[in-house]
Amino acid sequence: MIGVKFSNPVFSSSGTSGYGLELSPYIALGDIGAIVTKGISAKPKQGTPQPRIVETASGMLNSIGLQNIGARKLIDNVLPKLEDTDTKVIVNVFGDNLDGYIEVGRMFLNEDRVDALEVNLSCPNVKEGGIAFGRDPELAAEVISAVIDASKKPVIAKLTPNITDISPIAKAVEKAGASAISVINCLVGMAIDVENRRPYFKNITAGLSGPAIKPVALRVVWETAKAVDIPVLGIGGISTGRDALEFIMAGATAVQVGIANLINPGTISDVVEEISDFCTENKISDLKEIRGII
Amino acid sequence: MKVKILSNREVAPEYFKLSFSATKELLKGRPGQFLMIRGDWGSDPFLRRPFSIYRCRKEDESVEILYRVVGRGTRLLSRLSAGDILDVLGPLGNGFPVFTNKGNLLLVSGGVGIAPLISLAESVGSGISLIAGGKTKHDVSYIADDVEELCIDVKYVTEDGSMGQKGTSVSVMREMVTPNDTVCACGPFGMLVEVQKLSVEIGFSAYVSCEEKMGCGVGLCFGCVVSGVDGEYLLVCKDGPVFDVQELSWDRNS
Repeated sequence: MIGVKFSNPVFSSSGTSGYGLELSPYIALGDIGAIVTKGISAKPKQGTPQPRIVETASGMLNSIGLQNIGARKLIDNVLPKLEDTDTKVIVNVFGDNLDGYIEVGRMFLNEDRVDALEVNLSCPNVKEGGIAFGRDPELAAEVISAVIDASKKPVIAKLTPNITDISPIAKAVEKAGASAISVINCLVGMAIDVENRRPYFKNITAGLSGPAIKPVALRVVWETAKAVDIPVLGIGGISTGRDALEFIMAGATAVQVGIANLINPGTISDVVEEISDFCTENKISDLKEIRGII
Repeated sequence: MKVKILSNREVAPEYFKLSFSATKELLKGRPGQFLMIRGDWGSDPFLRRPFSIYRCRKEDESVEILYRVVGRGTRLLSRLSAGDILDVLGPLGNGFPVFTNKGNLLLVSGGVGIAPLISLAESVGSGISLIAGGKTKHDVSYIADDVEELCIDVKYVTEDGSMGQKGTSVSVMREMVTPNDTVCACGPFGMLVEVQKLSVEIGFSAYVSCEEKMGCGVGLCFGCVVSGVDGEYLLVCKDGPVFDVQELSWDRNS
């Protein structure tokens, strides 16, 4: 897929696995198909003040605000430590504007440890960049093509579900040269502190993730896979092998495990094993046999 | 890892002590370190909850946590009983430093913040001074058996005077503390702010155990940040939960 040989189709998703190394006490990094890092910008970003998290029914709202150490620190301090691990590394990147996306893309031009970039066109928690690019097919295409030019790496477009129809935007990023599409990022949600009669989060809205969003994610993955020919990476509330198989049947080539990592940082191993057991029991020799069968 | 609950007792209204059989790994837990815990209840509530280690009984191979019922997670936890299964991740975070001189060590707690300090008292040894504060006697009374067993030199203080001295743990600390002391504190945010102010005024050193809502407890989600003294965000789960009181920016965190 995307010109990279992944050992398995189960990745960690951005924002739920730190910079990758944080998972290492709990899982052999080589057991993860690919680590997708926390969103990285050219310069470090502070993120939003507290409160950042509120739990919801079978999920959570977050407003972290893309806090990150910046591309330079990632390159100097984190990537060398991933040198001896077998996992593939996908860096999730974002910018405040087109130039910001180009700047961060260019910083990975000569970074051979990085196998691909995942471009965040969908963060619901920042004013600039993020979701604004992900709602406009022309802007999204412009960003994708610029990051490919700047980084010379396979580029995955991470799209938002907070849109009426994903097809035009999926087709636009495919045409712009994206190697794959990741869906979905968080749904936009909110919570209200009734006692104080105020929104819980300073930004009022926040990103909802977890098992609660799985049915929506599955539908968007299915729609995206129907709209484009490039691979789709399914994300949204996956915590078991059966969840992952649902996404694969809906058309995903690979999946990303998100906040299930927060509960159990070894979840990915379990998901890989459950998929493998299912394939053995059902005499499936290649996931292609069940991919997109819905 | 999955462990079995040995007992789960309500020791004062809304306060519970929960003891579970612990693996070697869990018994390595140090005072001030914490555990991320959830019951075997499916996906709702989803997240684990952080709890300080209250007692670590190596001889019985058991660990005890102290908690107050404050929301859905702790409510569900309170309904579990001996024999039920818990899912525990830990021990996590940085605990209190190792103290060689207990003579000038002063432990100061507010409410359920007592939990990591009992653990610290147990590791330091008998005779350690503790100021245990709360709004009313129910917020402190439940430690009496542990205080006796561990020979802690305790001063109880309650805001309504229903147990021990009337006042707050900080007001009592102000009367006792000297510049040579090292204070270890855990309690509500407002109390920790007072400890910091007093540490500057009087000149003692202080370590505080902080609390923040956590998504993971292991540095993956960046949910539990507090402002450091230079304005940078620190993670309570990885950089803390115990901090030197001067490492944090108390204005920014207010």
